[in-house]
Parts: sequence; C-alpha cells; structure tokens
Amino acid sequence: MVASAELSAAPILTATSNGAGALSVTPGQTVDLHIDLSGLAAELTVSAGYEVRFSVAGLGYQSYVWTLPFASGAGDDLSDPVLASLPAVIADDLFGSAGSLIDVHFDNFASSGGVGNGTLTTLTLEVPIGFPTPSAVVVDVVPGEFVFDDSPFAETPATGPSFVLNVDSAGAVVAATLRAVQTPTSPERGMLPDGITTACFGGRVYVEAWVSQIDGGAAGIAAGSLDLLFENAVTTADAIDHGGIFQGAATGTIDNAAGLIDDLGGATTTPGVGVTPEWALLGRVVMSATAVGTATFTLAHGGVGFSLADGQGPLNGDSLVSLGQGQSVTVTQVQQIGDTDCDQDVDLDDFARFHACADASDPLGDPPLPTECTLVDLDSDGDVDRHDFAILQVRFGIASD
Amino acid sequence: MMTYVTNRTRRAYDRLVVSLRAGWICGAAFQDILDSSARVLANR
Repeated sequence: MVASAELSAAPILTATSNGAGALSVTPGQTVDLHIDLSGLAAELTVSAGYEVRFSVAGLGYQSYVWTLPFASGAGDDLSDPVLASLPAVIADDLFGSAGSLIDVHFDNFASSGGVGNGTLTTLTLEVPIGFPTPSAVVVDVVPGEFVFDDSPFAETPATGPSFVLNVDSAGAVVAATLRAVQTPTSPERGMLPDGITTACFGGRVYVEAWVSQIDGGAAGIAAGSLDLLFENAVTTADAIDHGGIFQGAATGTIDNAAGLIDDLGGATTTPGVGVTPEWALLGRVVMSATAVGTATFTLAHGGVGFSLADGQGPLNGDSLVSLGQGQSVTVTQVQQIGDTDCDQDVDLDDFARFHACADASDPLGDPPLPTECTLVDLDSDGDVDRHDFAILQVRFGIASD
Repeated sequence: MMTYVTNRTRRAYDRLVVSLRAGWICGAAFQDILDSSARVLANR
C-alpha cells in the first residue's frame, strides 16, 4: 500500500552555517551556507526544488555542491545559476530581470538513491571587501515541491527560521586575498585583478598576494607578510617577485617540498598604500605548472604580521587580518594550437599573451624565450613573431566542444 | 525566467520515475503516461 504524504513526518528546510542560525563575519571572509533538511523519518529525498532568498544584494556566490548522490553542475542538476557560471555576484538581476527577488535557485533529481536528514546543498559565499558594515543579511529558504522515495506524491517542506549573516568589520584592520593570474598584474595598486581558473601544463602561473586596510583608517599599510600554501604535486615555485611597492626589508622563502612560501612580504615608506577600496600588491610568486591536475592556493598568517603607516601593529591573526578564500587552477595539457591558457578557446586572452611575448622576444634567441612565452611560440622556432601571429590569427575564435 | 519552486513539470516526471522504481506503477503504465504527455505537449 502506498503511504500518503500526509502520513510522512513533516520535513523542514532550513538555512544554517554548520547548524547555527546566525554567523558574524568580516568583509573578505568566506562562508559555507548549508541548506539542511530535517524531520524525515526513514524516507530519502529524491527530487528537490527550492529558492534561497537574500535580503540584500552584493554577496559573492562562489560555488555550490549538492550532497551525493545528487550530482553538482551536471546530469539532472538544473540549478540556476549553474555551477559552470559561478562565481557571480548575488543581485536582483542575476537572472536578467532587474527588480525581481534577490535569489538563487536549486533544482535536482537523484538518479539513484537519495538524501535523508542533514545537508542537502552547501553554498559557498564570499563577503566582498567593501561590503557595507555593519549589516545583517537575512537568508530565507523557500521550498518548492520535493519528491521522497516513500510516496508518489509531491510534498512541500515547511520553512525553518531565517539565517542571519552579520557583517561587521569591527576588529579586522587588514584584508588579504590572493589571485592566480596569467601575467603579472599592473598597476600594483588599485582594483583586484580577475583570477584565472585554468592553466596549461608547462606554462606559468603567477600567484599574487593583495592587501587592503579596511578599518576605515587612511594611514595605509606599511609592512606585512603572509604564508602562501600550494599544491607541490601540480605546481612548483620558481621565484618570488616583491613587486614595486613592498620592496623594503623583503622576506619570503620558497619551500617546494612543503608546498609553502614562508613569510612573503616586505615594507614601504609610502603612506596611504592600500586604503580601501584600493588594494596593493604585497608580492607574487612565479610558479610553473608541472603536472596535470588541480592546484589550490591558500593564504595563511605570516610570522611577522602587518603594521600600518601610523605605527599600528603588529596586526596578526583572524581577528585583525581577514584572509580571503583560496583559489584553484586546473592544469591541463594543451588541446589545441593557440589556446595558450588552456581554457578551451582561442580568444583575446591568448592574443594578450602573444602581444606581451612578442614584445619580449628576441629573434636570435638571446636572451632565450621566457618560459611563459613558450606556449605562444606556435611554430616552435624559439621566438614569438609575425609567423606565430599568422597561426594565431587563423585559430582565433575557435572554441573546443 | 523559469521559476523552479513552481517547476511542476519537472517534479511530475520525477514522481513518475520514483513510482516506477518503487513498483507503484508498471513500466507499461509509465510509458503510457509519457506518451500521453508527449501528445498533450505536441497539441499545444
């Protein structure tokens, strides 16, 4: 006999952070928001559709993952935005319809089995630097229809209490974050660069540490250091570049065996460096992609901490220095000629690398072609010139399947 | 814009699959429902 939905336990869908209904964070921090289902007896969730609504716009929506056996970003996952289009900024026009709700949608079907009580989906959100403080972001889950494995009827779970994300910069003085980039960022003060998510085997990756004073003061950052952790199975650190700002008392040692850049940093006598919303480059690490795989880079507090131009310091630890989330880069073999960043197309990014390398190339090979330019030497003759451009021109606009 | 909380077509199909797996309907009935749905959609 088929059990009716009415006889089932009453499921409840709730947004939490590790089970808590509220969390306090500082700008620059990353939060995992869990969408939890409770109140189930023995039945399993097989099909789920719901919205997550935010009271204000502006959070960075980095990624999401469904609890297995639900697939994430593939198969029956019809969530919107889809995983492939993340990261994105949560805004009322995320779906191209300005003025609508500030929300994201989840929709999935488990091709076998299902999920019981516990976390159904986990969203990774980043509170961007510059997010208004203090503020409270109220997050509500609006369940749609669910299908459980004990009934042929659809059922709509009840809604749990709202989740509140309190954003307050009190305490945090310095924000630090990293960006993996294809070419060294210039200028070294200003906006954060966009990070890359792909790189070619044998190519270069520059991992940059950026810092900003976020406590409302205007003195600027005078000195500081950070540790940078990386996957030594996929990438190798070749050199440290302190950039043009924090050149005094420069520190930083490469430990490839441990996957660590220890105390990357330096000092400057220039006042007002990195006062929010400005970011300043603390230093960068020149890395080679030495294997196919995923390289994850993360920041950790250095041994020295930070000091400001007005004498404040040392500032160290999570309460004073807010570390941004890590970044992953997928390293693959070159699949097609001209795709110099292995993002499966030949576009303006590839032309930008060609342009930079053509300027640096010597036709006689003296000095030799820099490592980061070997992927642009499309005819493999040791330089980057008009012959390579001719090849790039023909390939331009090609995208792989 | 598709509103997923009211995406009943998707959920209806999922319910059919769950019913088939659980043995609440047989394969022939499942196919018949799918064929009927396809005819309805084709005549819209």
